[in-house]
Amino acid sequence: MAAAARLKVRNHPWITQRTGGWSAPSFIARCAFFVLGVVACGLTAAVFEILSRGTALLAAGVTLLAAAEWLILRKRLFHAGVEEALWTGGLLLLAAHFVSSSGDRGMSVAVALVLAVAAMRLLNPFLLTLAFAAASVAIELAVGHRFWGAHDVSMAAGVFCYGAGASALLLARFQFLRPSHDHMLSWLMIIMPLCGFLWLATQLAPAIRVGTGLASGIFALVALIAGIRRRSHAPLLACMASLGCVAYQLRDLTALPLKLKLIVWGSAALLAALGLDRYLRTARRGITSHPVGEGTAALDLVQWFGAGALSPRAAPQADAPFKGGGGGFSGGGADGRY
Amino acid sequence: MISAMHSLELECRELEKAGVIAAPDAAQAAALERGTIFSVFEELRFALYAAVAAITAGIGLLVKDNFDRIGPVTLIAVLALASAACYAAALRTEWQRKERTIGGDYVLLLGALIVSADLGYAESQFHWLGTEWRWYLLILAAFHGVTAYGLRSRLVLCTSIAALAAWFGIEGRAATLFNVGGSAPTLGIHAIVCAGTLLVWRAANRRLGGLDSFASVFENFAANIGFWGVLALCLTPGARLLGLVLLAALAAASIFKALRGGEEIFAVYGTAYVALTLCCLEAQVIKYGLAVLLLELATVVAGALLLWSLRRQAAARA
Repeated sequence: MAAAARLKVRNHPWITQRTGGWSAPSFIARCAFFVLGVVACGLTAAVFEILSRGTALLAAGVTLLAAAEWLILRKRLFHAGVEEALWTGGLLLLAAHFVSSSGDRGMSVAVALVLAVAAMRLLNPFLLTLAFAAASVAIELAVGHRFWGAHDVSMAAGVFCYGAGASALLLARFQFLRPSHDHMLSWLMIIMPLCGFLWLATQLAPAIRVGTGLASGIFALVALIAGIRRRSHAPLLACMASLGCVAYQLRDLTALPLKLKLIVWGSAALLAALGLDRYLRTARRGITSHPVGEGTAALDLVQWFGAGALSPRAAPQADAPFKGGGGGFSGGGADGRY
Repeated sequence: MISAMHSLELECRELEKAGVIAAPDAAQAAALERGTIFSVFEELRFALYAAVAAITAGIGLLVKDNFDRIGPVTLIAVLALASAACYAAALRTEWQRKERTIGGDYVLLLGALIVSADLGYAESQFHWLGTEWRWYLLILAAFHGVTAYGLRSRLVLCTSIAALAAWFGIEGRAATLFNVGGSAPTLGIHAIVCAGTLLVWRAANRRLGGLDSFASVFENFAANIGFWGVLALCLTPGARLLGLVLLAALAAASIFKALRGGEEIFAVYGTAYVALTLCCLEAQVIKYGLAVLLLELATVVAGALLLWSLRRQAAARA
């Protein structure tokens, strides 16, 4: 199924005959189903809240889990979005029923465990990443402040996130039987270092800024090498995300105002990307900047709407200050703000 | 040495043997799985977008804060020069009859965005259009439209559509939709007219031999802008009926397109937007808690079932 999806032949009759009735929609449809599933979860919980006030969460959770299992086992849905939302929502409601009295710490541990179990059952990388993020919250609530006392530094949570990202990067060296496991590691190696950085980014202490900058820099370097050696996209994306973190920590390296920093760093990134594009126009050791195979429709859509969103907010007025760039979708509207 | 992650090379070969994919496709897929070919196209696209976004934001802040020190004429001239340099790079590629790379596409987009900022700033300083300043957005849309066709750029076409939508007063903020007593009805009508304009533009593009690759840009923008407009109308007490009629028409058109062209995304638009709009409408109209919740749940379930069915049919057509 993974190969068929990658080659865009998942609906070919030959494939359909051999998947044992299992079906998985495209990424865009999966997202839509997931959103509909989440809305259905919320509505089901609200219905049970009216019908049976005392056991609403328990009843709604069991109902949603049963519906999700029915969709998986009987209708053979795999990575369809809706069963993932129902399964996760159901288990979260059950956790909320049983753990609601144990405070923030207990709840965050429960949420992390629920998400991890859901991720394993559904082979969903997004849920596993959320589970790790919830675990970092649990760690923060449990021990995070003890390291630095009054400084209120989320060191333990930050280290946990960086560690999770680094472990995922390391583990991705090995081959796994399922592509889903690769995707799980890919998500972890991209998102968790970002989470670690976010836990510590608000700290202005020089040691922490240098530490997070160094950690992100080292991670970026290792991820870059791993990405090139393994010919894998996830480490390269992790590298880019970590480089963004390094750039943020270097924000005070010069006394330039923010606008000039944005222009200078943006121009530097643009030139670097253009240089790389030019250099790789001829494939170097198999690496090329040309698109190979068919692109994904979802990324094209994101690119188009992203280009529209960059259009400056319009509507100049006599005394209004100018505000360009970074407007919302479809510009900014002719409403007098600029 | 290449240490690949999970490889689907064997599966690709199996698909080739079964005749599901052609031999060249299978060879390319196998090479990708082995890592003998590796494209960093998407990474470059991401990096280029981030770079252009940073520069555009910086320019926005620059003209906002520094015009007193620099002076409007100097600033306008500098921005014009910068955008001219970007356009010159694209024109050079065009004259050399070479295919523009992804980097060239984003440099051109940067040029278009600088022009937008420059023209907006110039209008705000010199008031060439006086009280009819909104027309500068249409001028901008026309300019970007012409350059998009001249240089065959879908990204510049997106900025043209964004300027056109801004001329129609579409802000793209969800909060405006729920501002029932305020701008929501006007926004709804404007959005629907804007979507209609985009569809007319698309039809003209096809009739007059425009680029085929532009059609999907028009269609996706028209669908999204149109559905948001309908949602705004449905949330306005006096315009609900009109909103519902337009919702049905737009949903039917989307679903028809999905089934005819095998484009799954339009099945998603035609069902997800409808389910969302009906849920919002039901919450507004029906006051009894349990009834509205059950109705909304039924709407969402029906939406999911319809999407599942349409998706399969659309996929079978693709």
